[in-house]
Amino acid sequence: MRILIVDDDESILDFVCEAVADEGHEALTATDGAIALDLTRTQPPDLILLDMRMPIVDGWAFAEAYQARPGPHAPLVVMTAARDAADIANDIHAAGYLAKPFALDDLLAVVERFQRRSHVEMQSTRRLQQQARGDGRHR
Amino acid sequence: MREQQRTTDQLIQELDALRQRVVDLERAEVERQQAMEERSRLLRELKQANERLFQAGIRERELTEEAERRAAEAEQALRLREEFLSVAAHELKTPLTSLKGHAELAMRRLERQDMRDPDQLRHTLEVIDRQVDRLANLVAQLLDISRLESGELRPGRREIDLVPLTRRIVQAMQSGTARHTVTLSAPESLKARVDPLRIEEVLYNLLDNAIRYSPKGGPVQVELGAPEKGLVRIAVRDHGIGVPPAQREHLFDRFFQASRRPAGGLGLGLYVARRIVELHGGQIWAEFPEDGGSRFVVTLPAGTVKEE
Repeated sequence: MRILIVDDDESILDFVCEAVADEGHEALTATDGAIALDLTRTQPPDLILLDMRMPIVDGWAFAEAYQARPGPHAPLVVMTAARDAADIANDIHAAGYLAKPFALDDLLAVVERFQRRSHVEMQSTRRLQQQARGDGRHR
Repeated sequence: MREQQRTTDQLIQELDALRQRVVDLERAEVERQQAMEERSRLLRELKQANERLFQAGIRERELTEEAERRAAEAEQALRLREEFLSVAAHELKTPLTSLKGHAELAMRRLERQDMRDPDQLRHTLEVIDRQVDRLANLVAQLLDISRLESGELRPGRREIDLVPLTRRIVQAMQSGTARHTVTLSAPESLKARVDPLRIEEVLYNLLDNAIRYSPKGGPVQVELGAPEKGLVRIAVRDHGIGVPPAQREHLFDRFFQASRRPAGGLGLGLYVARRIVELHGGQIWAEFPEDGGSRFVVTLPAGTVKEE
């Protein structure tokens, strides 16, 4: 899975990146929302781990801009030190959240959950595509 | 003769009656005067009472306004404090996240015998050590802020050489960033009468800001200057985003953060730095050169050795 990690703190980017790479995933990093938006265009990720408080373009602005774009969107997981992590996740229609400081196991559990989900989604997308091909009727 | 007598008697009676009337009239006049004076006096008292009532009304309005003002200030102070606490919690949790993450990652790798080379473990421990420094600085700022509030902060001054102290901080900050080059230009030795821990805090804050406000990386230059007029000079120059002119006069206020909050930090760094420097009898100010970025300058009392 290609995972995009967005956080203005380099040492957090550091360990999250290494942790997911250890599990065999490809990791992309961005220190602010603007860089992250560019990366989602050039190297679309399967999952985005998103810090909220960042300079230049923050997590809220990134989520808004990203979700306003056409096309499929990778699920967002909010990484935040704020007390109301769940509310923030709801507000930006994120698929999950990690409350800082989070345990490595929690991070990896989230990644695994989305890996299974994206696997399942890929399978069902394939099935739908097969059905569409097999069914020759048009409207 | 009797006629005359009678008439005279009559006249005398009439005269008496008239005199009596005059006396009565005079008495009545006096009483009238007194009544008039009483009336004037009462009117005056009424006027004074009105005046007092009016003044009382004004005073009450003033007191109400004062009370409202105080209430608004208290509310504002409470809001600022809550916001500050929330920012502080966030800022403390960031290095904690990194500490926990790196430590757990290292443990996981050790369990899996997955340490490809010992340098990786060393790197992890260095990161952990740096994050601890960062947390320590934040805690120091918080303690200082509370001590500054209660007037307890009194720098313990000693004569020290600023050069090795500054070099240590410059190296520590450099190891925390790959995108910036942090350099020091200084004479071989520079003595100052300062509280070394507090000055470390000030330097740390200035360098942290310089790095934080140059998100694209770049040079950060620290310069130590020889004593002039009994003061030594420290300058920290960055080539980052600087500060918008409208915000420059508030830079050293408490809780102030230039541009948007997401830039991080407690918003205390410059305020604490200013208080510490001023308690040393020095000065701190910011300059914004034409070619962008910022330069923060600190003056501190020089050491008591000869200046040449």
